[in-house]
Amino acid sequence: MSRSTKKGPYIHHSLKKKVDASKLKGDKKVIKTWKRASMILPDMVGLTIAVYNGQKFIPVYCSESMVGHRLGEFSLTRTFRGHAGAKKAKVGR
Amino acid sequence: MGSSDLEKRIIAKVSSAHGIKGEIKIFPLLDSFEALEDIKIITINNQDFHLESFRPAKQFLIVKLKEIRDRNSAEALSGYVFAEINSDLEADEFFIQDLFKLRVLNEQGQELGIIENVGEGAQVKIFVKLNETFQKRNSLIIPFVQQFIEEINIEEGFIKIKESEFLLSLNS
Repeated sequence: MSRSTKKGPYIHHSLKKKVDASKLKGDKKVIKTWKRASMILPDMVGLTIAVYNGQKFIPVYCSESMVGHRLGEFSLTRTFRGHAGAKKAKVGR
Repeated sequence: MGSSDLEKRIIAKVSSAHGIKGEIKIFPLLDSFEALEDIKIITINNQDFHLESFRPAKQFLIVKLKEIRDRNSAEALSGYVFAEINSDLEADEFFIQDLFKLRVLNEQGQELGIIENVGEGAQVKIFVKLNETFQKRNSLIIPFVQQFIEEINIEEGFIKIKESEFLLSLNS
């Protein structure tokens, strides 16, 4: 069952406070967070948030297409070290 | 439209033999199976084989080769599968394999380290093994986005990044 729309998207209050402060000041200070379950809000677009993966902080650059997803989805906890083969990567916007 | 460039690249890894009719199970190293539709010949252990058919099976592909007709021959195959694939890339698109071992330079052109891994997933990340001068335990992780990537030059073997101080401060 999906989350009730009445409640709005989940974001931990401490992270929300940091995001609001960063937006207000417009500074480039690193936002470090352990709140992997927090959702990416439209306010966070353009910010880079360092999300802890259990070992280190992984920088996650929030783009418009990531809104509604959770921060943990972009900070993988396992590293695959196989051959990349013919897979391609595109520089994101 | 000009003709597309073909380039021999690794497209899969042989997993095991499948069944008794000489089919083999391979683990695809491609973004999609569409690229396989144009492939007629594949190379395994420096031997060319004609691709007869393929079908997906969970995360693997079951492949039927014209030259392989029994299980014993199929079991003898191992290693990577090479094939000539279309190497046309869109703007700002790169083969992940080409990014490995590129030198990473900061805004001033100072070398920070070399790329040791590329993390795939919802957002591609570059893992950089830092030079000894940095004396950092963790590697530098760079999101593969325009915000942090200034220039990628595969021919000259470097990648220039932006906001290096910000990225270096993350795991200090």
